[in-house]
Amino acid sequence: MVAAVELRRPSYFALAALIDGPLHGYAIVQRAGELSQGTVRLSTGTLYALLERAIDDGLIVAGEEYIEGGRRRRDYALTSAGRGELEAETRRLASASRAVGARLRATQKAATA
Amino acid sequence: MSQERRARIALRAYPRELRASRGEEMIATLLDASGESGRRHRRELAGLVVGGLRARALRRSQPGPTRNVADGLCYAATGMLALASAEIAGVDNRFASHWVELWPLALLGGALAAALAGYDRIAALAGLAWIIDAFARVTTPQSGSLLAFDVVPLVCLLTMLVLPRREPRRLARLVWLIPIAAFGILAGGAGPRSYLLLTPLAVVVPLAVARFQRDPRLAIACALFAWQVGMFELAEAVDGRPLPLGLLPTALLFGTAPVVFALARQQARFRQRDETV
Repeated sequence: MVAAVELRRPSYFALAALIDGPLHGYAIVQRAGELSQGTVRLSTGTLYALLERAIDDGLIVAGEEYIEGGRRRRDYALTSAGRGELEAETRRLASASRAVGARLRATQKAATA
Repeated sequence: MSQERRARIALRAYPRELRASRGEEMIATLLDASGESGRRHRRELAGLVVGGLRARALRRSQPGPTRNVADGLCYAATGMLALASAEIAGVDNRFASHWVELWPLALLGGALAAALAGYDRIAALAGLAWIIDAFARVTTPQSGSLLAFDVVPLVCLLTMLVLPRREPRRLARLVWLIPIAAFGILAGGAGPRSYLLLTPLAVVVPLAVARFQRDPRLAIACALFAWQVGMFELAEAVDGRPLPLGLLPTALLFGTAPVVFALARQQARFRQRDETV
């Protein structure tokens, strides 16, 4: 079931990390860090809590376990529902940004006049 | 002590089931994320312990066997209130003259509305008041039919009063009053206590079976309905009439509830065992 709720920042960037294709846990941590320009630093505990929740909500799916560099990995992939949720959240953030930006510009003009 | 050893100790904060399914990859992610930094490693370990304790708390907050049974009884009470309301909604003038009066109908409707919206204690009090009123109206010696009509709902309503559901209250669910009334009007033509009124169970029972592994509460409610239908059958026998469904189906109706209860209990035990260290 898709969570019809606002995504929190770590969840948003963790899901966004999967836009280009499936990634394993540590790759998600790195990609989320890049996308957020270093503002989101997911810890392992936080990452797996939000991955479990996203799986329960049908936003992502977990692949089979495999070994890479002597360490066990599992890739996670975005579902179409997850992509939809990400798009909805992106639109919401963009809309909020436009509205607040417009007010800031309007009040700045008034303040400098 | 190596980083991996410390990570494995911190991982024990998680429920066993989660450790078995995700533990190794979590260790791998933690070691990669820690790198050579001792500070980052300590932060990762603390995050893992907090995450594990949260996961355990979340599992514990999920319903146990007693909560499942209580919720099942509450669902059954709601269903029985709906059935009684549908029955009354469908009663034509032949019956209306001697048993439908305004305020008992208001009590029953109020109980159903409260139960649908999630106000269990109010629903239970109104439902119990409706049953007591029905008892008070009995002028002839109590028949077997009356016993069947009230014992199971009484138990369900008392459970609703003592152990109400811990679910969010939603007034939007009052919209269910419309199909319940419509169904009662359509199906109630056959008269009070018609088995036609139980036809929605043909949809609900397969749903309850499909959901049983994940959530046995609906199955428990259905089993109680089966028990009540069995009580109707028994009432016929008490009143000196032959069993309408026959002996074997009646035995099956009575046998459903203990089997469902035992399976639900067993399933909850398995789940609890999985969650222990």
